[in-house]
Amino acid sequence: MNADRELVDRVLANAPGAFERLVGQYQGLCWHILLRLVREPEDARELCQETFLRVHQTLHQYRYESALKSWIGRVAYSIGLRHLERQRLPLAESPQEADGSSLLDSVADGFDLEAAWADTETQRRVFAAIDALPPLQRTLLTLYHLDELPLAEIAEITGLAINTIKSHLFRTRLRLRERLEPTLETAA
Amino acid sequence: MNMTRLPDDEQIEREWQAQERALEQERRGVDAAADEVVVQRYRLFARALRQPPVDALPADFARRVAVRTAVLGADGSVNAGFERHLLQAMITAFGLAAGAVLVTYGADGLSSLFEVARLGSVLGGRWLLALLACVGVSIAAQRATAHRHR
Repeated sequence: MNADRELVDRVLANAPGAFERLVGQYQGLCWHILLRLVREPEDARELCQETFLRVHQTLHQYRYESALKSWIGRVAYSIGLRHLERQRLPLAESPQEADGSSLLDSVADGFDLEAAWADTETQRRVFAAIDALPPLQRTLLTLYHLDELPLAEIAEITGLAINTIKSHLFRTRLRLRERLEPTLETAA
Repeated sequence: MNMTRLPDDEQIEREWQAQERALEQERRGVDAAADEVVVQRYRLFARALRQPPVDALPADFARRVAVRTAVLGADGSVNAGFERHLLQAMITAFGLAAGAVLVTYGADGLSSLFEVARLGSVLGGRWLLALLACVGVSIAAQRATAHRHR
């Protein structure tokens, strides 16, 4: 928090290079959020820029109630959501679709992770399945797996309850496994 | 009607633990051979999810955004400070150009400049009046608009 405070103070005092440092520090997180939400790299780049312009305009309102990272992530998430609304794109799947997952009773023995990962076709299917997820699920998985954010921080960014996030993570990962089970059986 | 078998809490917990273990093992880069098959399968997704996106922001993104915020003020309009700096730069450039003209053409250049100015004052009387009329009309229109909005 002290590092956040020092950086924010320097940006508010217009110290040379301070805002560039802030952008450099958090652009990765914003990029992941926006790219996962809107999918189109060109749109995500523009929204990322809009995010940091907004951060610059409203940084004086930041009250240190959460980590600066979460606060900036929240700005990026809101801007991404607004973009989806404008494009009339759904954020998450309908409740009927979300209810469709069932637990898989058993799996075949002898699965070789390294061999499956080395198989280009399996890898392509895994990435395609992730890419086909609804924006919210894609974003939550990325924040949890790639950015390694704890559930509490994801909750601050998205405004969702921790249990809701856990439920999304659980169902989405289960569904990925379900969808790819035939491919994984072949790889085994 | 949904015919899906509803899992009990214990099954859900076991599946969740397998997912979480897969995430943890991938983070730590532990050899997968000792993992249960179900964990290994989840590790495949965990590994894919840990790959950074192929598309990336431009390498100079932070610098570009910082330059843009220096141009734009806190409200998103062009920064007054930036305008002032720009004006100062233009005045300096104009002064340097005038100095260069003086050094290059010397007194001859100055006298021809005065000659042009004298000619301009003779011809410019009417134009000056027209210019003042334009400015007057513009100010009056501005005040009328402001009055209407009040």
